[in-house]
Amino acid sequence: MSSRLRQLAGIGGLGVRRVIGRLYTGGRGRTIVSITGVALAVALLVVVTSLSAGLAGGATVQSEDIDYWIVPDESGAGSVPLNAEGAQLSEVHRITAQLRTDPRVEYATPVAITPVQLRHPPTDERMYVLALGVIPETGRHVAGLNTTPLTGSYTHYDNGSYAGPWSGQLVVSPAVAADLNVTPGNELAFGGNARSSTVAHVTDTNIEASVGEVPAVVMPLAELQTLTGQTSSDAANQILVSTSAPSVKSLLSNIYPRTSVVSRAGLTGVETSTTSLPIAMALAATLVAGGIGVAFVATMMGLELTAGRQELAILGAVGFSVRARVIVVMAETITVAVLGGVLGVSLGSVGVVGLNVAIAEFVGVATLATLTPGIILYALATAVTVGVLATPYPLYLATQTDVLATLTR
Amino acid sequence: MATQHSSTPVVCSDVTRQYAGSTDRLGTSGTTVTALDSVSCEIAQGSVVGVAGPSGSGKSTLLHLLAGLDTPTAGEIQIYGTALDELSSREQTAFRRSHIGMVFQRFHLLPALTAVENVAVPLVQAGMSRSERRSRATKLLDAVGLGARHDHRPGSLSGGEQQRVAIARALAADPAVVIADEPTGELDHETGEQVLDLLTDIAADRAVVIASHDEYTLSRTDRVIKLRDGRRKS
Repeated sequence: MSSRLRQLAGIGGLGVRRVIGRLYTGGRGRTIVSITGVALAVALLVVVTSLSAGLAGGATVQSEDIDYWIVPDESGAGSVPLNAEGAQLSEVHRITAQLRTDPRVEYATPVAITPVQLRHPPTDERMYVLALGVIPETGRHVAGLNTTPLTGSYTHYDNGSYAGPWSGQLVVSPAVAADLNVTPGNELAFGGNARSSTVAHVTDTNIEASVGEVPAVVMPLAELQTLTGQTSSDAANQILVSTSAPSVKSLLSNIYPRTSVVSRAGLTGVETSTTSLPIAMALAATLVAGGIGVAFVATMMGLELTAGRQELAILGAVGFSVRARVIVVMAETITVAVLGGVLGVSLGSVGVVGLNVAIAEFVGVATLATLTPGIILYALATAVTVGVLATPYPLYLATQTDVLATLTR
Repeated sequence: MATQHSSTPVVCSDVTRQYAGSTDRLGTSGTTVTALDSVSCEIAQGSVVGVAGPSGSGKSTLLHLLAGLDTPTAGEIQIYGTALDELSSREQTAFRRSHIGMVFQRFHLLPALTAVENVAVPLVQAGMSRSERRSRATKLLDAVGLGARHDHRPGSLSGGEQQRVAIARALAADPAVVIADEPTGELDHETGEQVLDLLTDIAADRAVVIASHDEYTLSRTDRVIKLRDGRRKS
């Protein structure tokens, strides 16, 4: 190590030793307050950023099923699962069958969404409803509508052809049942088509959209494709995949070009991955933590220097140049910030655990906030930045210290 | 341990230091105070010189000028042939670092550092490695009889021990001149005597200047410069 580097390391080291040593002396109060101020700010940063990371990364899947939706980019992710417009996905039966072979995938179904006209022949009541075509499975809901009553009726699709028997089964929402005055067992005809289906079940809940309740039916996808002429390309609007493994998301991203994978904590959950909320939260946390940290450190180090100006004068008396004294003060300020950062990361880690416990208790999601090594490094880097940004005021005080006047005061 | 020097360590020639009075709100200048008025002196290597006088006589002013902490209004101070007033503020600090050791009445140790760290402070800017600094500081603390108190902070040392740490610190850079301002002022007689023993011991190969108004302290010096109202009386 060159002499100049040794000199710099020695001077900086003196600042570090002074801060550490101060914690063992009677004058520790201000130092502890400074460190605590930074620590609280950094802890806040860690908790909020971990929460943001959890929301952005779909961490909610750790304990409960999450639905991933493959949607064409043009369809607009914001309207999932009710978007019936825009580009469609092709070969959905083949792709879905392929997805179902992945052990991480618990359930997968294409969802075709089309408005159709239904008529109740005995009364001739007619209405347009939103028809959702799915591959049903016991215990699965799509858009809140139970597909269980359709299980066993997926016969129309037969190894790539649509020549299988027409099951003619429908699950209808309460709004449809009320408007058409139908109950399970009643037959409903499709407008403009000779086909008809039987009401297998009336669900308890309606589909809620921004415009209010949407009258909807769920039926076998292949039968809806036949009704709407989408059999040639085997098209659907979206593919829904239920899983508890977040790693599936990357698999889904690569299936179709120009598609998005949208995650939801169940259909009633808040859509998170396509919004800027996590980034906004993380940015706000950084700004708040930075602001609080800089204000704390600058103020407390200023008070520390004002009270300990004589010590700076002593350094001057024993031959420390102004530059060397400035380096000592910088090292002290950054050391306080780094100690605060380390303490803050520890407090923040405890906070993340506490937050997850609280969320599990009151919301039912086991893990929401996710603390990663990257967040720890980010928090420590923020603490160092806080230290650097807080130096101008202490440095100003340091350069204004008159050695002789201070020593003889 | 001290560096060998060739010429007279300290020469003051007609040194005057005046302080301008502050200007009031009406713009009237205050009275100029002459703290030191045409004082001359020579201090030889190997000698302990006392600076005596009542409060306000200019003792501390002379010491501050000798240490390069202040600059004379007129006259010249040379330390081993270097005129301090010809040095910039930065050069004066560097000169003080390598040629002058200071001992204060109130010790002025850094409370957060241990004894050995306090002694090593003047060596930090010299670019010595940490182990070299510690080794030298340890030897100096042993030399002033504090071998067992290396890692104690000033708060856990007695006044006499703190002053001995301060003397060890003053010797750290092996200076040619040691300046002590009322070094026994805060100590009892017995402890003060131990400190004076130390200061006279270290004078063998350097010049030591002690400012005091204590007769016993002055009696331990080789020669006394008496000041009154900023002027030299003997």
